[in-house]
Amino acid sequence: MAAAVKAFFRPKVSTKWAVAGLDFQVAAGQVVGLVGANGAGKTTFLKMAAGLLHPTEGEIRVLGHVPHERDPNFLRSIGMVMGQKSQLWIDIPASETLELLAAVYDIPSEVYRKRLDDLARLFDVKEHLGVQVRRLSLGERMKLEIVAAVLHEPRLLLLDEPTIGLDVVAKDRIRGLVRDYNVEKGTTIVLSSHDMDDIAEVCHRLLIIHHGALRFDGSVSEVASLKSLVLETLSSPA
Amino acid sequence: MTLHWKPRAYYRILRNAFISDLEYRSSYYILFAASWITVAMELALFRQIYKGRPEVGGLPASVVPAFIVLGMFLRYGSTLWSMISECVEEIRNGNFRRFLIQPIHYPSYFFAKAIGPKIPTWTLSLVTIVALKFFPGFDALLPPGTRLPFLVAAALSYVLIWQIYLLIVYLGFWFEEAHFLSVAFNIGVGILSGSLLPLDWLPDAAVRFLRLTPLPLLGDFPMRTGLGRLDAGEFEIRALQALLWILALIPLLAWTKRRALRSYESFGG
Repeated sequence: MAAAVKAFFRPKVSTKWAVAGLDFQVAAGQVVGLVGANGAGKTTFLKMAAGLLHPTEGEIRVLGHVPHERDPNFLRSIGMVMGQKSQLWIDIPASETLELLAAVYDIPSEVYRKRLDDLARLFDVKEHLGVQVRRLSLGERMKLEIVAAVLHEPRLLLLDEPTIGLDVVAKDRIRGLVRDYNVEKGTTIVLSSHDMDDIAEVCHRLLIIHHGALRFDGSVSEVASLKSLVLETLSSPA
Repeated sequence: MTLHWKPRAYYRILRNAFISDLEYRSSYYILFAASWITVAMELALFRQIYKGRPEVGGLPASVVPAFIVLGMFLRYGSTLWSMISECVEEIRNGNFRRFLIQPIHYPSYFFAKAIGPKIPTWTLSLVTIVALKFFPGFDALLPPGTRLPFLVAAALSYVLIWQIYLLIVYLGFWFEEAHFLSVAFNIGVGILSGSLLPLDWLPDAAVRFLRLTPLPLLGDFPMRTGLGRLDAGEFEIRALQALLWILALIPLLAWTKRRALRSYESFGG
């Protein structure tokens, strides 16, 4: 408590480089997994890619745009799911949020209805669309979060820990759905996770980030043991 | 870069906000009652101030009920302050980012989300205000010839208050402590704008200083217009002042927005 009172009168400010020395390109249609310890810079990178953060130095281009300029055409081309932040309105059925998103992304009514039908079938959420979001399980809610993020058919989908807190069955379902969606639509996906099974089952390529820098960049299929590789990379000196 | 006006989206936001809020019926009843309890308390307070005197500080007793009702109507704009606090809080804890990744003007999204639930209460209050005009004691409410000017003045005051809120929201991206601005604004706006008490009741020096700010244009200007208490030619001058403030705030808002978003740290996983 003393520290809190002291900080109230004299706040201590320190600067930390969340991301430094991160240099890579992602090909269209690729599914890339970001792995790193807590605070490694994974979410910071995703926020920069979505245009939420301005990099203090360096350059970032996504789909030919500078993300933080927040060009409406860029915003229409990306979708983002944050495992710990919901985009759905909690007290009303998800269908109402989806209708709103259709209006925000200027999706014509007929196109919206057809797209929702397809997504509801693919993600198996038809029966949940009319239920208040707060009454759904975490797994059901996450499926709807992904539906909300891809409703406008983004070219790039950013998934920040999409399976966090889910049980084994729900995790497996979400992974399968993301994989199927990538195959069906060819959407580029960047996924951050602490769960190696997410990476192994969904991603083509693995990036390991440590203290904001890229420490490994390679194909998932060429790695014999993801867990060993990650542990080894994160424990080796910078 | 322009984000197009999206009536369909704003309709949906208002609708969703309204439906969401219906989940909390009890709050609805209490809030509606509270707005009228405030009016009753103000009437009691003014009665104490007047105590049988026909006029206090240039405001006749016969105008007081109309003054209170108009003040309540205008303060609906400033009652959105709790929403601004919530908005700044969401910016601080990172929840606000769900609005930032969508191609829509995000503060308007948030404002519409806050206004949606208030529509029934506001409509009901407006109907009540109009009905009050036919009750004894409310003769001074919007006398003939003031209705259109009042609507213009009220619209200008609402645009101005919206711009001030927008400024606070943008500052929320810039400073973690911007929350205090919404609290300070809420505490001061009723008195300093002249919508809670007549501005003329404040010391002359204070009024002269306030006239240099947009605050009297938020309350005093539309109030006096609605009560028919403006001098000849005063409406045009005040309306022009309000318009100039609105125009002056546009570049300030644009600059603050640019600067603030550069500084935004978007905390939270």
